[in-house]
Amino acid sequence: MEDTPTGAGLQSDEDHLDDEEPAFVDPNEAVEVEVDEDAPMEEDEDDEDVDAVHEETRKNVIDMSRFKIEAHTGPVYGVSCHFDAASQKMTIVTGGGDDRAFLHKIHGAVPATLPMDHNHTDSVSAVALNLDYVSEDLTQTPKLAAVGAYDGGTIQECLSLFARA
Amino acid sequence: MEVRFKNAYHFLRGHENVRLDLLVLSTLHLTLIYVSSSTAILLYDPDTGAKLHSFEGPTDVEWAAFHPKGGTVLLVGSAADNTVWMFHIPSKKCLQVFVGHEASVTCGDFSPDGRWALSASSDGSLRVWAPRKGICKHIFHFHNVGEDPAGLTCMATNGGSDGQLVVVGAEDGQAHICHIGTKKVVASVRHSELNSTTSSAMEDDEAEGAAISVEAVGFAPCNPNWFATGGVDGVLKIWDLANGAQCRQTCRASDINEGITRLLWHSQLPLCFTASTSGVIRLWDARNGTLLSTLTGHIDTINDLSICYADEGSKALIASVSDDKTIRLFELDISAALKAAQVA
Repeated sequence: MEDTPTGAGLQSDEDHLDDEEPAFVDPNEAVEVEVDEDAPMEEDEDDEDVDAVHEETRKNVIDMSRFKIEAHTGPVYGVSCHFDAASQKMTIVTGGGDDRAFLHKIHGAVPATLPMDHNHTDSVSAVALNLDYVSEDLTQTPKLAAVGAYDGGTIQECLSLFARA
Repeated sequence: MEVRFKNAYHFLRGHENVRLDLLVLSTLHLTLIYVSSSTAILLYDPDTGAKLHSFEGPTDVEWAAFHPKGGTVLLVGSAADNTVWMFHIPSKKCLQVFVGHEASVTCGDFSPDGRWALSASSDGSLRVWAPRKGICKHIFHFHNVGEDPAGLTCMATNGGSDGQLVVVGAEDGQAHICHIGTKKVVASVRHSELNSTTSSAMEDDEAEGAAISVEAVGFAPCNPNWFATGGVDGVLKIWDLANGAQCRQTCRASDINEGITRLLWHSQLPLCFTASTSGVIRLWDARNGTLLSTLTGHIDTINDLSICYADEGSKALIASVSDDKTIRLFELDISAALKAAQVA
Protein backbone atom coordinates (compact mmCIF):
# COMPACT_ATOMS: atom_id res chain seq x y z
CA MET A 1 0.00 0.00 0.00
CA GLU A 2 3.06 2.17 -0.05
CA ASP A 3 3.03 5.15 -2.35
CA THR A 4 -0.70 5.01 -2.64
CA PRO A 5 -2.10 8.49 -2.47
CA THR A 6 -4.84 8.45 0.06
CA GLY A 7 -6.32 11.90 -0.04
CA ALA A 8 -8.42 10.88 2.91
CA GLY A 9 -9.06 13.28 5.71
CA LEU A 10 -6.23 15.63 5.01
CA GLN A 11 -8.29 18.75 5.35
CA SER A 12 -9.29 20.48 8.47
CA ASP A 13 -12.97 20.32 9.17
CA GLU A 14 -13.84 23.64 7.55
CA ASP A 15 -11.93 22.78 4.42
CA HIS A 16 -13.61 19.50 4.29
CA LEU A 17 -17.04 21.02 3.82
CA ASP A 18 -16.37 23.11 0.76
CA ASP A 19 -13.40 21.45 -0.77
CA GLU A 20 -13.92 20.79 -4.47
CA GLU A 21 -11.62 17.84 -4.63
CA PRO A 22 -13.06 14.58 -3.40
CA ALA A 23 -11.53 14.10 -0.01
CA PHE A 24 -12.00 10.41 0.28
CA VAL A 25 -10.95 7.16 -1.20
CA ASP A 26 -12.76 6.15 -4.36
CA PRO A 27 -15.41 3.62 -3.34
CA ASN A 28 -14.20 1.42 -6.18
CA GLU A 29 -10.91 1.11 -4.40
CA ALA A 30 -12.53 -0.30 -1.32
CA VAL A 31 -12.07 -4.00 -0.99
CA GLU A 32 -14.53 -6.13 0.84
CA VAL A 33 -13.39 -9.43 2.18
CA GLU A 34 -15.76 -12.19 3.08
CA VAL A 35 -14.29 -14.91 5.18
CA ASP A 36 -15.82 -18.17 6.22
CA GLU A 37 -19.46 -17.66 5.55
CA ASP A 38 -20.19 -20.86 7.40
CA ALA A 39 -19.32 -19.21 10.68
CA PRO A 40 -22.21 -19.71 13.06
CA MET A 41 -24.25 -16.64 13.68
CA GLU A 42 -24.51 -15.60 17.26
CA GLU A 43 -27.83 -15.13 18.95
CA ASP A 44 -27.55 -11.38 19.22
CA GLU A 45 -31.05 -10.18 19.96
CA ASP A 46 -30.17 -6.51 19.55
CA ASP A 47 -28.90 -6.92 16.04
CA GLU A 48 -32.07 -6.15 14.14
CA ASP A 49 -32.87 -3.07 16.15
CA VAL A 50 -29.38 -1.78 15.75
CA ASP A 51 -29.42 -2.42 12.04
CA ALA A 52 -32.70 -0.56 11.64
CA VAL A 53 -31.51 2.42 13.61
CA HIS A 54 -28.30 2.61 11.69
CA GLU A 55 -29.77 2.11 8.25
CA GLU A 56 -30.26 5.84 7.89
CA THR A 57 -26.81 6.58 9.30
CA ARG A 58 -25.24 4.03 7.04
CA LYS A 59 -26.44 5.86 3.95
CA ASN A 60 -24.98 9.15 5.06
CA VAL A 61 -21.59 8.10 6.32
CA ILE A 62 -18.80 8.67 3.85
CA ASP A 63 -16.43 5.75 3.87
CA MET A 64 -12.93 7.19 3.97
CA SER A 65 -11.28 3.92 4.88
CA ARG A 66 -8.74 2.34 2.59
CA PHE A 67 -9.82 -1.15 3.55
CA LYS A 68 -12.96 -2.52 5.08
CA ILE A 69 -12.69 -6.07 6.37
CA GLU A 70 -15.91 -7.91 7.15
CA ALA A 71 -14.56 -11.10 8.64
CA HIS A 72 -16.43 -10.92 11.92
CA THR A 73 -20.14 -11.61 12.19
CA GLY A 74 -20.55 -9.67 15.44
CA PRO A 75 -19.19 -6.57 17.12
CA VAL A 76 -15.39 -6.36 17.01
CA TYR A 77 -13.87 -5.62 20.40
CA GLY A 78 -10.10 -5.69 20.15
CA VAL A 79 -7.44 -4.78 17.59
CA SER A 80 -3.67 -4.67 17.60
CA CYS A 81 -1.53 -3.86 14.58
CA HIS A 82 2.09 -3.76 13.56
CA PHE A 83 3.79 -2.36 10.47
CA ASP A 84 7.07 -3.80 9.32
CA ALA A 85 8.91 -1.06 7.48
CA ALA A 86 11.40 -3.41 5.82
CA SER A 87 8.79 -5.59 4.16
CA GLN A 88 6.06 -2.91 4.09
CA LYS A 89 3.72 -5.52 5.51
CA MET A 90 1.07 -4.76 8.06
CA THR A 91 -0.17 -7.36 10.54
CA ILE A 92 -3.50 -6.89 12.28
CA VAL A 93 -5.11 -9.18 14.83
CA THR A 94 -8.75 -8.74 15.83
CA GLY A 95 -11.19 -10.42 18.20
CA GLY A 96 -14.93 -10.05 18.53
CA GLY A 97 -18.33 -10.89 19.92
CA ASP A 98 -18.70 -13.67 17.36
CA ASP A 99 -16.25 -15.63 19.57
CA ARG A 100 -13.61 -15.53 16.88
CA ALA A 101 -10.19 -14.03 16.27
CA PHE A 102 -8.68 -13.23 12.88
CA LEU A 103 -5.26 -12.42 11.55
CA HIS A 104 -5.12 -9.91 8.71
CA LYS A 105 -2.11 -9.31 6.48
CA ILE A 106 -1.97 -6.25 4.33
CA HIS A 107 0.66 -6.00 1.67
CA GLY A 108 -0.39 -4.28 -1.50
CA ALA A 109 -3.93 -3.88 -2.67
CA VAL A 110 -5.80 -6.75 -1.08
CA PRO A 111 -5.86 -7.71 2.58
CA ALA A 112 -5.58 -11.41 3.34
CA THR A 113 -7.57 -12.66 6.31
CA LEU A 114 -6.90 -15.89 8.18
CA PRO A 115 -9.14 -17.28 10.90
CA MET A 116 -7.22 -17.96 14.12
CA ASP A 117 -8.25 -21.50 14.71
CA HIS A 118 -9.92 -22.12 18.05
CA ASN A 119 -13.42 -22.93 19.21
CA HIS A 120 -13.97 -20.14 21.67
CA THR A 121 -17.28 -20.32 23.47
CA ASP A 122 -17.46 -16.64 24.34
CA SER A 123 -16.32 -13.23 23.14
CA VAL A 124 -12.72 -12.60 22.20
CA SER A 125 -11.96 -9.33 23.92
CA ALA A 126 -8.19 -9.12 24.25
CA VAL A 127 -5.62 -9.27 21.47
CA ALA A 128 -1.94 -8.35 21.57
CA LEU A 129 1.14 -8.56 19.37
CA ASN A 130 4.70 -8.66 20.67
CA LEU A 131 6.27 -7.58 17.37
CA ASP A 132 7.43 -4.25 18.81
CA TYR A 133 9.51 -6.09 21.39
CA VAL A 134 11.10 -9.03 19.58
CA SER A 135 14.84 -9.02 18.97
CA GLU A 136 16.85 -10.20 15.99
CA ASP A 137 17.23 -13.57 17.62
CA LEU A 138 13.83 -15.12 17.11
CA THR A 139 14.80 -18.26 19.01
CA GLN A 140 15.03 -16.14 22.15
CA THR A 141 12.04 -13.96 21.41
CA PRO A 142 9.61 -15.59 19.03
CA LYS A 143 7.02 -13.49 17.27
CA LEU A 144 3.67 -13.93 18.96
CA ALA A 145 0.05 -12.94 18.73
CA ALA A 146 -1.94 -13.43 21.94
CA VAL A 147 -5.70 -13.87 22.04
CA GLY A 148 -7.73 -13.83 25.23
CA ALA A 149 -11.39 -14.75 25.47
CA TYR A 150 -14.22 -14.55 27.89
CA ASP A 151 -14.65 -18.33 27.91
CA GLY A 152 -11.79 -19.46 30.15
CA GLY A 153 -12.70 -20.69 33.56
CA THR A 154 -16.28 -21.58 34.10
CA ILE A 155 -17.43 -21.85 37.65
CA GLN A 156 -19.05 -25.21 38.10
CA GLU A 157 -19.90 -25.22 41.69
CA CYS A 158 -19.94 -22.73 44.50
CA LEU A 159 -20.19 -23.64 48.14
CA SER A 160 -20.47 -21.04 50.83
CA LEU A 161 -19.76 -21.89 54.42
CA PHE A 162 -20.69 -19.05 56.66
CA ALA A 163 -18.31 -18.74 59.55
CA ARG A 164 -19.23 -17.04 62.76
CA ALA A 165 -17.60 -13.69 63.11
CA MET B 1 -20.11 -14.80 34.79
CA GLU B 2 -19.03 -12.42 37.43
CA VAL B 3 -17.97 -13.11 40.97
CA ARG B 4 -17.12 -10.39 43.42
CA PHE B 5 -15.91 -10.82 46.96
CA LYS B 6 -15.15 -7.90 49.17
CA ASN B 7 -12.15 -8.28 51.42
CA ALA B 8 -11.37 -11.61 49.89
CA TYR B 9 -8.09 -13.37 50.03
CA HIS B 10 -7.61 -15.83 47.28
CA PHE B 11 -5.30 -18.75 47.35
CA LEU B 12 -4.58 -20.22 44.02
CA ARG B 13 -2.86 -23.51 43.61
CA GLY B 14 -2.25 -25.93 40.83
CA HIS B 15 -3.24 -23.65 38.01
CA GLU B 16 -1.39 -25.77 35.51
CA ASN B 17 -3.85 -28.57 36.02
CA VAL B 18 -6.87 -29.02 33.89
CA ARG B 19 -9.03 -28.53 36.88
CA LEU B 20 -8.43 -25.39 38.83
CA ASP B 21 -9.53 -25.16 42.39
CA LEU B 22 -9.98 -21.65 43.60
CA LEU B 23 -10.38 -21.08 47.29
CA VAL B 24 -11.79 -17.79 48.39
CA LEU B 25 -11.70 -16.79 52.02
CA SER B 26 -13.34 -13.64 53.21
CA THR B 27 -13.68 -12.06 56.61
CA LEU B 28 -17.35 -12.93 56.73
CA HIS B 29 -17.65 -16.29 55.17
CA LEU B 30 -15.69 -19.04 53.61
CA THR B 31 -16.40 -19.83 50.03
CA LEU B 32 -15.10 -22.68 48.02
CA ILE B 33 -15.36 -22.51 44.29
CA TYR B 34 -14.50 -25.24 41.89
CA VAL B 35 -13.38 -23.80 38.65
CA SER B 36 -13.07 -25.91 35.60
CA SER B 37 -10.71 -23.95 33.48
CA SER B 38 -10.98 -24.34 29.77
CA THR B 39 -8.55 -22.55 27.53
CA ALA B 40 -8.75 -18.80 27.61
CA ILE B 41 -5.38 -17.63 26.24
CA LEU B 42 -4.12 -18.64 22.82
CA LEU B 43 -0.76 -17.90 21.27
CA TYR B 44 -0.31 -17.79 17.52
CA ASP B 45 2.44 -17.19 15.02
CA PRO B 46 1.57 -13.74 13.65
CA ASP B 47 3.12 -14.60 10.29
CA THR B 48 1.26 -17.80 9.53
CA GLY B 49 -1.64 -17.75 11.96
CA ALA B 50 -0.59 -21.18 13.26
CA LYS B 51 -1.60 -21.92 16.82
CA LEU B 52 1.50 -22.26 18.99
CA HIS B 53 0.23 -22.78 22.48
CA SER B 54 -2.77 -22.42 24.71
CA PHE B 55 -2.94 -21.54 28.38
CA GLU B 56 -5.60 -22.06 30.89
CA GLY B 57 -6.33 -18.68 32.30
CA PRO B 58 -8.96 -16.76 34.15
CA THR B 59 -12.43 -16.33 32.77
CA ASP B 60 -13.38 -13.10 31.00
CA VAL B 61 -9.94 -12.07 29.81
CA GLU B 62 -10.33 -8.34 29.42
CA TRP B 63 -6.86 -7.32 28.24
CA ALA B 64 -3.47 -8.77 27.38
CA ALA B 65 -0.04 -7.13 27.31
CA PHE B 66 3.42 -8.41 26.45
CA HIS B 67 6.52 -7.67 28.50
CA PRO B 68 8.57 -4.98 26.75
CA LYS B 69 11.83 -6.93 27.06
CA GLY B 70 11.66 -9.55 24.35
CA GLY B 71 7.94 -10.00 24.47
CA THR B 72 8.01 -13.51 25.88
CA VAL B 73 6.05 -12.83 29.05
CA LEU B 74 2.34 -12.15 28.77
CA LEU B 75 0.16 -10.41 31.32
CA VAL B 76 -3.63 -10.79 31.19
CA GLY B 77 -6.37 -9.41 33.39
CA SER B 78 -9.78 -10.77 34.21
CA ALA B 79 -13.04 -8.87 34.25
CA ALA B 80 -14.72 -11.62 36.23
CA ASP B 81 -12.52 -13.04 38.97
CA ASN B 82 -10.44 -9.89 39.62
CA THR B 83 -7.13 -11.61 38.96
CA VAL B 84 -4.09 -10.81 36.83
CA TRP B 85 -2.12 -13.71 35.37
CA MET B 86 1.41 -13.80 34.04
CA PHE B 87 2.66 -16.43 31.60
CA HIS B 88 6.12 -17.24 30.29
CA ILE B 89 5.53 -18.39 26.77
CA PRO B 90 8.77 -20.26 25.86
CA SER B 91 8.55 -22.44 28.98
CA LYS B 92 4.74 -22.63 28.70
CA LYS B 93 4.34 -21.79 32.36
CA CYS B 94 2.03 -19.65 34.36
CA LEU B 95 4.47 -17.66 36.49
CA GLN B 96 2.12 -15.75 38.76
CA VAL B 97 -1.47 -15.09 39.58
CA PHE B 98 -1.77 -11.67 41.17
CA VAL B 99 -4.68 -11.61 43.56
CA GLY B 100 -5.98 -8.64 45.49
CA HIS B 101 -8.28 -6.54 43.33
CA GLU B 102 -11.82 -6.58 44.61
CA ALA B 103 -13.56 -5.99 41.29
CA SER B 104 -12.94 -6.35 37.53
CA VAL B 105 -9.41 -5.64 36.40
CA THR B 106 -10.21 -3.22 33.61
CA CYS B 107 -6.73 -2.55 32.26
CA GLY B 108 -3.09 -3.29 32.87
CA ASP B 109 0.41 -3.38 31.48
CA PHE B 110 4.04 -3.76 32.40
CA SER B 111 5.93 -0.62 33.33
CA PRO B 112 8.05 0.55 30.37
CA ASP B 113 11.26 -0.65 32.10
CA GLY B 114 9.63 -4.06 32.61
CA ARG B 115 10.21 -4.06 36.36
CA TRP B 116 6.60 -3.94 37.47
CA ALA B 117 3.23 -5.25 36.47
CA LEU B 118 0.46 -2.66 36.76
CA SER B 119 -3.28 -3.16 36.95
CA ALA B 120 -6.25 -0.86 37.39
CA SER B 121 -9.65 -2.01 38.53
CA SER B 122 -13.30 -1.17 38.96
CA ASP B 123 -12.52 -1.31 42.69
CA GLY B 124 -10.91 2.11 42.23
CA SER B 125 -7.33 1.06 42.88
CA LEU B 126 -4.16 0.95 40.81
CA ARG B 127 -1.86 -1.85 41.92
CA VAL B 128 1.85 -2.26 41.37
CA TRP B 129 2.98 -5.90 41.43
CA ALA B 130 6.46 -7.35 41.73
CA PRO B 131 6.53 -9.88 38.88
CA ARG B 132 9.09 -12.25 40.38
CA LYS B 133 7.76 -12.42 43.91
CA GLY B 134 4.14 -12.11 42.89
CA ILE B 135 3.42 -9.69 45.68
CA CYS B 136 1.62 -6.39 45.55
CA LYS B 137 4.25 -3.69 45.96
CA HIS B 138 1.90 -0.77 46.29
CA ILE B 139 -1.78 0.09 46.09
CA PHE B 140 -2.80 3.53 44.92
CA HIS B 141 -6.19 4.62 46.24
CA PHE B 142 -7.84 7.81 45.03
CA HIS B 143 -10.81 8.27 47.33
CA ASN B 144 -11.12 9.78 50.77
CA VAL B 145 -11.92 7.68 53.78
CA GLY B 146 -15.66 7.11 53.98
CA GLU B 147 -16.25 7.70 50.28
CA ASP B 148 -17.03 5.03 47.74
CA PRO B 149 -14.14 4.63 45.32
CA ALA B 150 -14.78 5.44 41.67
CA GLY B 151 -13.93 2.57 39.34
CA LEU B 152 -10.92 2.96 37.09
CA THR B 153 -11.68 2.55 33.40
CA CYS B 154 -8.38 3.10 31.62
CA MET B 155 -4.66 3.36 32.16
CA ALA B 156 -1.53 4.46 30.31
CA THR B 157 2.16 4.25 31.17
CA ASN B 158 5.43 5.87 30.20
CA GLY B 159 4.86 9.41 31.43
CA GLY B 160 7.36 11.86 32.88
CA SER B 161 11.02 12.27 32.00
CA ASP B 162 11.84 8.96 33.73
CA GLY B 163 8.93 7.05 32.18
CA GLN B 164 7.69 6.15 35.67
CA LEU B 165 4.40 8.00 35.59
CA VAL B 166 1.12 6.15 35.13
CA VAL B 167 -2.19 7.84 34.38
CA VAL B 168 -5.56 6.29 35.18
CA GLY B 169 -9.03 7.53 34.28
CA ALA B 170 -11.99 7.09 36.60
CA GLU B 171 -15.76 6.81 36.35
CA ASP B 172 -16.20 9.97 38.44
CA GLY B 173 -14.64 12.16 35.74
CA GLN B 174 -11.20 12.38 37.29
CA ALA B 175 -7.78 11.25 36.17
CA HIS B 176 -4.86 10.55 38.48
CA ILE B 177 -1.14 10.60 37.79
CA CYS B 178 1.02 8.29 39.91
CA HIS B 179 4.76 7.81 40.13
CA ILE B 180 5.64 4.12 40.39
CA GLY B 181 9.05 4.71 42.00
CA THR B 182 8.08 7.21 44.69
CA LYS B 183 4.59 5.69 45.14
CA LYS B 184 3.14 9.20 45.12
CA VAL B 185 0.00 10.49 43.45
CA VAL B 186 1.60 13.35 41.52
CA ALA B 187 -1.63 14.99 40.39
CA SER B 188 -5.38 14.48 40.19
CA VAL B 189 -7.31 16.38 37.56
CA ARG B 190 -11.01 16.69 36.92
CA HIS B 191 -11.89 16.03 33.29
CA SER B 192 -15.63 16.54 33.70
CA GLU B 193 -18.07 17.66 36.38
CA LEU B 194 -21.46 16.31 37.25
CA ASN B 195 -23.95 18.81 35.91
CA SER B 196 -27.52 19.20 34.80
CA THR B 197 -26.95 17.63 31.40
CA THR B 198 -25.80 14.45 33.08
CA SER B 199 -29.24 13.50 34.29
CA SER B 200 -30.79 13.81 30.85
CA ALA B 201 -27.98 11.79 29.34
CA MET B 202 -28.67 9.07 31.85
CA GLU B 203 -32.19 8.58 30.59
CA ASP B 204 -31.35 7.83 26.99
CA ASP B 205 -28.22 5.88 27.55
CA GLU B 206 -27.58 2.64 29.30
CA ALA B 207 -24.30 4.05 30.58
CA GLU B 208 -26.02 5.45 33.60
CA GLY B 209 -23.92 7.21 36.13
CA ALA B 210 -21.01 6.96 33.75
CA ALA B 211 -21.94 10.08 31.82
CA ILE B 212 -18.90 11.86 33.19
CA SER B 213 -16.55 8.91 33.10
CA VAL B 214 -13.03 9.27 31.73
CA GLU B 215 -12.70 6.48 29.17
CA ALA B 216 -9.27 7.02 27.64
CA VAL B 217 -5.96 8.45 28.82
CA GLY B 218 -2.43 8.73 27.43
CA PHE B 219 0.95 10.43 27.80
CA ALA B 220 2.41 12.31 24.85
CA PRO B 221 5.60 10.62 23.62
CA CYS B 222 6.77 14.00 22.29
CA ASN B 223 6.51 15.70 25.67
CA PRO B 224 6.72 13.64 28.87
CA ASN B 225 4.78 16.26 30.83
CA TRP B 226 1.73 16.26 28.59
CA PHE B 227 -1.12 13.85 28.90
CA ALA B 228 -4.62 13.63 27.48
CA THR B 229 -7.98 12.54 28.86
CA GLY B 230 -11.01 11.57 26.78
CA GLY B 231 -14.45 11.15 28.25
CA VAL B 232 -17.96 9.91 27.77
CA ASP B 233 -18.71 13.63 27.36
CA GLY B 234 -16.93 13.53 23.99
CA VAL B 235 -14.27 16.00 25.09
CA LEU B 236 -10.53 15.55 24.71
CA LYS B 237 -8.45 17.53 27.20
CA ILE B 238 -4.72 18.14 27.06
CA TRP B 239 -2.94 18.66 30.38
CA ASP B 240 0.53 19.87 31.30
CA LEU B 241 2.20 18.50 34.43
CA ALA B 242 4.98 21.08 34.18
CA ASN B 243 2.39 23.75 34.70
CA GLY B 244 0.69 22.43 37.83
CA ALA B 245 -1.31 19.91 35.79
CA GLN B 246 -3.40 22.62 34.21
CA CYS B 247 -5.65 22.00 31.25
CA ARG B 248 -3.91 23.37 28.15
CA GLN B 249 -6.55 22.60 25.57
CA THR B 250 -10.14 21.45 25.44
CA CYS B 251 -10.93 19.76 22.14
CA ARG B 252 -14.50 19.08 21.17
CA ALA B 253 -16.17 18.27 17.87
CA SER B 254 -19.06 20.71 17.62
CA ASP B 255 -22.70 19.69 17.61
CA ILE B 256 -22.05 16.04 18.08
CA ASN B 257 -23.40 13.99 20.92
CA GLU B 258 -20.91 11.21 21.40
CA GLY B 259 -18.35 9.79 23.74
CA ILE B 260 -14.65 9.13 23.31
CA THR B 261 -13.77 5.45 23.55
CA ARG B 262 -10.03 5.50 22.80
CA LEU B 263 -7.22 7.99 22.46
CA LEU B 264 -3.73 7.48 21.09
CA TRP B 265 -0.92 10.01 20.76
CA HIS B 266 1.21 10.26 17.66
CA SER B 267 4.51 8.44 18.18
CA GLN B 268 6.58 11.63 17.80
CA LEU B 269 4.40 14.68 17.23
CA PRO B 270 2.10 16.61 19.60
CA LEU B 271 -0.96 15.15 17.91
CA CYS B 272 -3.68 13.01 19.42
CA PHE B 273 -6.12 10.60 17.78
CA THR B 274 -9.56 9.94 19.28
CA ALA B 275 -12.16 7.30 18.46
CA SER B 276 -15.81 7.80 19.30
CA THR B 277 -19.13 6.12 19.96
CA SER B 278 -20.39 7.64 16.70
CA GLY B 279 -17.77 5.72 14.73
CA VAL B 280 -15.60 8.73 13.87
CA ILE B 281 -11.82 8.96 14.26
CA ARG B 282 -10.35 12.43 14.71
CA LEU B 283 -6.86 13.85 14.80
CA TRP B 284 -6.23 16.85 17.05
CA ASP B 285 -3.29 19.21 17.34
CA ALA B 286 -2.56 19.23 21.07
CA ARG B 287 -0.72 22.56 20.87
CA ASN B 288 -3.74 24.60 19.87
CA GLY B 289 -6.72 22.25 20.04
CA THR B 290 -7.28 22.34 16.27
CA LEU B 291 -9.16 19.49 14.64
CA LEU B 292 -6.82 18.37 11.86
CA SER B 293 -8.68 15.43 10.39
CA THR B 294 -11.98 13.60 10.59
CA LEU B 295 -12.07 10.02 9.38
CA THR B 296 -15.49 8.49 8.79
CA GLY B 297 -16.61 5.05 7.67
CA HIS B 298 -17.74 3.22 10.78
CA ILE B 299 -21.45 3.45 11.52
CA ASP B 300 -21.32 2.43 15.16
CA THR B 301 -19.16 2.66 18.26
CA ILE B 302 -15.44 2.16 17.76
CA ASN B 303 -14.33 -0.30 20.44
CA ASP B 304 -10.61 -0.29 19.85
CA LEU B 305 -7.93 1.51 17.91
CA SER B 306 -4.38 0.59 16.97
CA ILE B 307 -2.04 2.82 14.99
CA CYS B 308 1.27 2.15 13.23
CA TYR B 309 3.43 4.65 11.44
CA ALA B 310 5.18 4.44 8.09
CA ASP B 311 7.60 6.81 6.37
CA GLU B 312 9.16 8.01 9.64
CA GLY B 313 5.90 8.93 11.24
CA SER B 314 4.56 10.99 8.35
CA LYS B 315 1.97 8.38 7.40
CA ALA B 316 -0.40 6.92 9.99
CA LEU B 317 -1.95 3.50 9.42
CA ILE B 318 -5.01 3.40 11.63
CA ALA B 319 -6.78 0.11 12.34
CA SER B 320 -10.15 0.44 14.05
CA VAL B 321 -12.80 -2.07 15.08
CA SER B 322 -16.43 -1.39 15.75
CA ASP B 323 -19.81 -2.59 16.89
CA ASP B 324 -20.73 -2.31 13.19
CA LYS B 325 -18.88 -5.67 12.80
CA THR B 326 -16.22 -4.23 10.53
CA ILE B 327 -12.50 -3.71 10.79
CA ARG B 328 -11.34 -0.64 8.92
CA LEU B 329 -7.94 0.59 7.96
CA PHE B 330 -7.41 4.27 7.35
CA GLU B 331 -4.31 5.88 5.91
CA LEU B 332 -3.58 9.42 6.90
CA ASP B 333 -0.84 11.66 5.58
CA ILE B 334 0.15 13.52 8.75
CA SER B 335 2.38 16.10 7.02
CA ALA B 336 -0.39 17.01 4.60
CA ALA B 337 -2.90 17.29 7.43
CA LEU B 338 -0.61 19.68 9.28
CA LYS B 339 0.05 21.72 6.13
CA ALA B 340 -3.66 21.98 5.39
CA ALA B 341 -4.25 23.29 8.89
CA GLN B 342 -1.52 25.90 8.49
CA VAL B 343 -2.97 27.15 5.23
CA ALA B 344 -6.39 27.39 6.82
